Amino acid sequence: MLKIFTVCPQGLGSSMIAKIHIQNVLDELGVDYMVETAGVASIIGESFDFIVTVEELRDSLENVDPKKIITINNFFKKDEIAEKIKERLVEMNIIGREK
Amino acid sequence: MMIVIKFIVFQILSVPAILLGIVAMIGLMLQKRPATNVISGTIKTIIGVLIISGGAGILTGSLSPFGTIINHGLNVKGIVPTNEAVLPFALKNFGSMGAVIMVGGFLINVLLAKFTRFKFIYLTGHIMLYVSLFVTAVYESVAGLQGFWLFLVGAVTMGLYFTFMPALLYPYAQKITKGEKFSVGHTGDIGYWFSGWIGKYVGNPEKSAENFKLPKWLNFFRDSTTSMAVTMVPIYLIVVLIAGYSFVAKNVSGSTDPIMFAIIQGLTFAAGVTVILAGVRMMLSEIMPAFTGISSKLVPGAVPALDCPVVFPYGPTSLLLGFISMFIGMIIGMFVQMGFHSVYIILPGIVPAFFAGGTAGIFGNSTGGWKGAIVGPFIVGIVLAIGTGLLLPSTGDLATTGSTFGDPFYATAGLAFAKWTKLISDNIILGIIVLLVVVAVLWFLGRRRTTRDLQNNQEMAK
Repeated sequence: MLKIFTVCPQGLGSSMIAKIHIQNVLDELGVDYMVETAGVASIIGESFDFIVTVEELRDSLENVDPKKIITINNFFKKDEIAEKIKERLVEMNIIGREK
Repeated sequence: MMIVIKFIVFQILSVPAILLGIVAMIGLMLQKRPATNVISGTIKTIIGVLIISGGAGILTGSLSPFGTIINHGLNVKGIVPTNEAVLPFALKNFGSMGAVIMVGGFLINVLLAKFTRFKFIYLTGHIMLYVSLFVTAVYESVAGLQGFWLFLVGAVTMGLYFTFMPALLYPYAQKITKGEKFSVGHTGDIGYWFSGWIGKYVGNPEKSAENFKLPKWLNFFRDSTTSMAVTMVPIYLIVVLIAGYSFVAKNVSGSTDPIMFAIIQGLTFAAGVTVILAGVRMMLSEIMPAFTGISSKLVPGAVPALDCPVVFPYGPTSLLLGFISMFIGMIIGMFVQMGFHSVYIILPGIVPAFFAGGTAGIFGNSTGGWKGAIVGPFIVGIVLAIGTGLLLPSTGDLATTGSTFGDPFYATAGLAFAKWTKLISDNIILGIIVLLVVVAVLWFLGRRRTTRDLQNNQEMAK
């Protein structure tokens, strides 16, 4: 099962919107997943396949393996999130390349 | 039969944890999630609420000795204006009603978005809960409303808030994001609107704050655990020194050295809030996807009102300028209160300064450049400190917790709302007249925001 965290400053609002988008994307793809929200402080000590966050927070996430970070420009843009998640899933051989 | 109903109403529904669990369960079932998902989601929501109450214990351990010390040192009651700090106490006192009012308010928001021209859906879950609890506290403790009427009046109030606040901010949000289709849903709202409005008069948007850079280390205030620790420890230390080392050693800190005591208690405050944040996260984790699902099905194409960090990428420098100015404003506001010998002194709150102040900076920058990013948040900081102090007596039992709701909304519109509630419960006719005037003014302002401004969107966005 794929374990994903969305990370924003407090892990309450913006990451929740990203989480909802990711849920929709993965539901459509039929992938088995668990996606949770986290704040920059609470992500420490969690285990995950990857996290989704915005460029501005990268500096606050020095403890996280950079290979496990998917950077997006905006938490609320479903298309961008969908595209980057799919890209990563293809790399991880979870889904096949489209068309 | 009566016994069963009584059990449901007085035992199950009066426990906020269970009630919110039921909300999550219904939400999950509406989304047709598998049974295991429904069960785990429901349990997690309930546990989230219980974690929040757990955080209350940690916070009280830190806030109550602090209250004793500051009261002795300055003969005032020091109040920490942080939503997450007051949340567990608000949940305990007004939790069940607050939760149903939040759900009712959301449904009214959906109906208003569907049938009026105000197509805004409020989707910032924690803020929805905080404001609902605040409104419940005011209606219950100021107007003495109870039961069904409290629910009805509260839900209508929240429905209006959820619909019209995002409408107020939408034109500015459009300007900031160059036409993205979302608004901001956060209790900094009045501060954002004010900063955006006053920005026009103090500066020039061409001279944007984003043209220069601030030191990067300031960014670490994004992490509320760290930023609370680095502000609460000095505040505790100052208060301990003012109250006197020997007083603290003798009466409060026991065998611990007072300096060490101050450091540990400052850190404990941050620990308590961090626990509460974890609880809030867990509690909302299943409820918000349900709200989003319902609203997107019923009102496709509505404009979502999202938490304030959505605009952070559009103005990282303005964010820091706004944060610092509002924090300084709050310190000045605190001294003003001391000058007036207020009973309650609102201490500078780092969380509202960062989120509400920073976002106000971004709004101010969009209309007034770097000057706008400073002036608006600075004034908002002063107003927040003073307004929150005046609001405190209207929040019932919450006034004694040493913490309160801390955001520009509460100190301005929230204060006006509490005073109005007092007025209408004393003199109903006068109260209704005032309400009608306010509604008329808002309607007028709102009209501009649905028709003209929406047509001019592209133009404004430039």
